[in-house]
Amino acid sequence: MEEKDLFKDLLKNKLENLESPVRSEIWSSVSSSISSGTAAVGTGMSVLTKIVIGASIVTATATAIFYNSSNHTQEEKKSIETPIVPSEVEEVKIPPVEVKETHKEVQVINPETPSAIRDEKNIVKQVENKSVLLSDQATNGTIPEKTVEPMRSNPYPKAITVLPITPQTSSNDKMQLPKSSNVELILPNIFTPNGDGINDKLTLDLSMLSEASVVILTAKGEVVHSAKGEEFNWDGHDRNSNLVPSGSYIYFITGTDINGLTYKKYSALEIKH
Amino acid sequence: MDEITLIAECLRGNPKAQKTFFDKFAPKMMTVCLRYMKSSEEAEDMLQDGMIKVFNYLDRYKNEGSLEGWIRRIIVNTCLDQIRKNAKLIEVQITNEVEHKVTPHDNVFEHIAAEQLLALIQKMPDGYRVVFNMFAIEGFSHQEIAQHLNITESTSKSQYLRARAYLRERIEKR
Repeated sequence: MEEKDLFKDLLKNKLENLESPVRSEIWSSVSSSISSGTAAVGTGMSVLTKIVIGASIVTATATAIFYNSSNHTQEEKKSIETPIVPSEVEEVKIPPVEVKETHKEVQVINPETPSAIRDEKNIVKQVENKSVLLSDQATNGTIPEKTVEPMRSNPYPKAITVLPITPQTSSNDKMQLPKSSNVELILPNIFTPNGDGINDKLTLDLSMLSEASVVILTAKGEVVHSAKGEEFNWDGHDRNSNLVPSGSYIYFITGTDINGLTYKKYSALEIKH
Repeated sequence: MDEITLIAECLRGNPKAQKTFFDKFAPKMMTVCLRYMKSSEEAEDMLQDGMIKVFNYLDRYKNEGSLEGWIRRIIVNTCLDQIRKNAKLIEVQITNEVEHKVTPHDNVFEHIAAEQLLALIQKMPDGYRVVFNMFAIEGFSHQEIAQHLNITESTSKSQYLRARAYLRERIEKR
């Protein structure tokens, strides 16, 4: 045992305090990742990081809220999984109309997705058929609870849950439709910030989006640059105004299009000097 | 600048202090990374990630125990996380039991330069290099190693002994 410990101690003594050369690039990337670092600002690095994270959360939340409030029909569709309450059958007629409207909207917005729309049409038809069927049943008195009044005031027309005939998958497809915007942006995947005047900047025209925000990350997910606004221009310098090293990066664009739909895309980005 | 002032300045975002801090600890931590990771590129990546963590968590350092020890733990954990991600690395097979008699030859380690030792450790097969580092240098117990690497305690022990035999053999051959 003693000798074993000796072995360990020897190694430990030799290696524990051994210093190895560290390339200066490593400090560059560390410093660019920790904070803007200006003493004048006086903010702790973690605070700054938190602000960046916080800002993106706020954006995400805001988008989510906006999205939810502008897509009521969404909620109805979500409730598809809720069990059927027969007494709500009376309301069946309302949701299909709304679904139809959504469908029209979608048709306008997404002219290039005919198959999805066809699906929707089918679903709408199914909804209508089902609602007729159920209403008939109701008038025939097969569902005695149908006249229970309080259920009518249910703010969430869960009655759309009579959609069991709709396959789960297609209803999910439908839910995803209004989520993302159809705006097509040109997303360059390489640029060379070496000052030779050629392709020195990453430029994005984001005028199609409101609340546009761009975040550039290293392959490891560290934020090197972020900006908001219609026009995005980046010269390859990080928040400490150091030129970022050549390599693979990724950038995310989020925003809201003219129809209030969320735009969210990312692209790989190669930086070469 | 003493350690406490240095930390405070780093937390304030003073770039000079951050640089001083980095220069003070990075070289030693580079050795740690080199011991754990297969290539020096990977080691550099770990040093970078680890040091970013160190700066980001610096406000949580409670001034208990040495600052260097605290940093070292973060760096080691960063390396271990990466090693776990490179999953199959720890697939160890205990086929032939290595002879692990403790002989007076152990003093061969006395006459080797630290840099050479480091180079030998880096060339060790993946499977036991990590165990060896954790046990011999960082002072983890075999139980802790087993938990960290999701292997059994006896695997940890045998890997360590194998690593030791490997090292001794390499040194004697020189």
